[in-house]
Amino acid sequence: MPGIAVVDTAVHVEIPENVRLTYRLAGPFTRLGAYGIDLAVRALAFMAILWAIALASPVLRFGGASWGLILLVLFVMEWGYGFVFEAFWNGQTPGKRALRLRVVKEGGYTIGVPEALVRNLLRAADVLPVFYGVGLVAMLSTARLQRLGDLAAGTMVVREPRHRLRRETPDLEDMPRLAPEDLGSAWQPTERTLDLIHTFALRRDTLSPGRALEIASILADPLARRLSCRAVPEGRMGADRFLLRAFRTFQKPRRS
Amino acid sequence: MKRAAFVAQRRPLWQKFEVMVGRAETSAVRRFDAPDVVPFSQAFRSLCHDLAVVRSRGFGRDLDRYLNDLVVRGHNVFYGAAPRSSNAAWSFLAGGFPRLFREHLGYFFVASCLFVLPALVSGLLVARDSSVALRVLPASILDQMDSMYRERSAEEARKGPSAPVGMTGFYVWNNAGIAFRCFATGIFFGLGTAYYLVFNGIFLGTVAGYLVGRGHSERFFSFVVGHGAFELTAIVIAGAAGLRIGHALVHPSPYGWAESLRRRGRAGAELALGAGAMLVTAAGIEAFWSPLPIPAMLKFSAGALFWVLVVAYLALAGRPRAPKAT
Repeated sequence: MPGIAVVDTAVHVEIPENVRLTYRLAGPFTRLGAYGIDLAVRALAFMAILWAIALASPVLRFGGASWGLILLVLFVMEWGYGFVFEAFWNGQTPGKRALRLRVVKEGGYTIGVPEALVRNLLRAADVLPVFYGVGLVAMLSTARLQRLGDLAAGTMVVREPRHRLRRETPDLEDMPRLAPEDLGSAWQPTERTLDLIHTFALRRDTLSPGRALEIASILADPLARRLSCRAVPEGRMGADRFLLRAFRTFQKPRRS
Repeated sequence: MKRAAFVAQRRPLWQKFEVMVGRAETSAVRRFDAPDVVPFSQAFRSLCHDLAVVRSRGFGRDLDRYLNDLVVRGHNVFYGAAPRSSNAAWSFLAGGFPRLFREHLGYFFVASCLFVLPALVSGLLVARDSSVALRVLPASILDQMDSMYRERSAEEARKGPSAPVGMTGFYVWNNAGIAFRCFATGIFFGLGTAYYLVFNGIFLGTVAGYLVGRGHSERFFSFVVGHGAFELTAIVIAGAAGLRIGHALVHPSPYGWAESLRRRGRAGAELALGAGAMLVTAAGIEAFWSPLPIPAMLKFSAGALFWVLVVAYLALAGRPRAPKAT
């Protein structure tokens, strides 16, 4: 759709190997989840350190030094936590790793110490005036969902889902095409429709036969009408077979 | 080639690559041994090719997505960040930071004015009439300051500084926190930075003026002179860093504002980091040295030495060595 900006969280980056990679951006709510986990990790670590100081204090005679140590720990956790993890753990904090998020440069490259430094120092501006208000506004008004720290560092936070490749469904390739004389119109289904059928075909074996037919008929009936197809699926029984045959018929011609 | 045949043929390589990427991602040392590099880079390029094939032949969105995410992970591993040298921190403090400082002298002078002028004005006003101080600070804080700098009894003086380790922690937390916020809020067109500088200038000037008016000037200045060399300079440097990024937004040309911010952000953050390191030094001096019960003259001399050190460090460290005269 030229000229139309599609609202999407996908960012495309062309890499030196001449392919265009698609990155999925992490939105404010996913990142809030990671932030929550990090907050919990820090709280637990802080309590453990408090406990250690309380235990060591009578032995080592910390006396008045204890609260100074506590403030020092607070300082390191406030300013150092995100920086150290992101710089030395390849753009991930424990919270980001748990939710499969990663900070990468805008070109998809690994971030280094400078990027981690910039985006974590500028966190102090993003948290203003309360609870990341500035950061949220910045994220909602930039194409890459960046808070100010990300903008200054040239970084973005992306999702890193792991897809498992499903078992191939051999019957798709074996489906006979719809006969040309059965088709009453020259209309062709769109790429998106074909993708949808393909996705359905891959999932078909995870559905019960009745459910598969039920889902298939939602698309099969209007598709058959649009094609003015004479081999209209009778009732619901032929719906999923019809979809697969339609897919085979209109599938992009391929070189083999 | 049909999709099924393609997948059947290429899948073993994809699975091998998945294992390689997984290992590279999780290993503590993100580095390949030499024999692993070649198979990895070959597999990576093959996967890029397979991804292009899947797209051009419309083999389906699931394959596209699977390969895309695998290549994304491989890309991240393959083009990793430049190796970090173990003495980067040292070389930054020994040369990089002072050089960066000298590149930003203009910002430093503006930040100095924003800090020193309010301090001077409020200090002079309060010294002439200490009731003015009440307009700036609540009486409780002023009383606290007053009692901190009153004449010490002989016994208290002998005990020396109380809990210096604890005070170090407090000074680091408070001062470095202020410096970092002073830098970060510079992103609001420099306004946040200006606010922090002026506010802290007025605060410092008021306290100084008040204590001078109460006749504590020697004790106050002999306390402040030592760590002040590091602390005041560092706060102003953090301010200069904030003004740098603020300026990048106020006057971004020839870049767009986002690009301008990206280009200046790193220098600003590194200046702020150096300021943080100076503040850690200042915190140690403030907690251990400044409260020592020793003659004021000694503290003033040492303080002068600290100032010379700081100026020499910022002015000279990291300059390329002059060729030896023959």
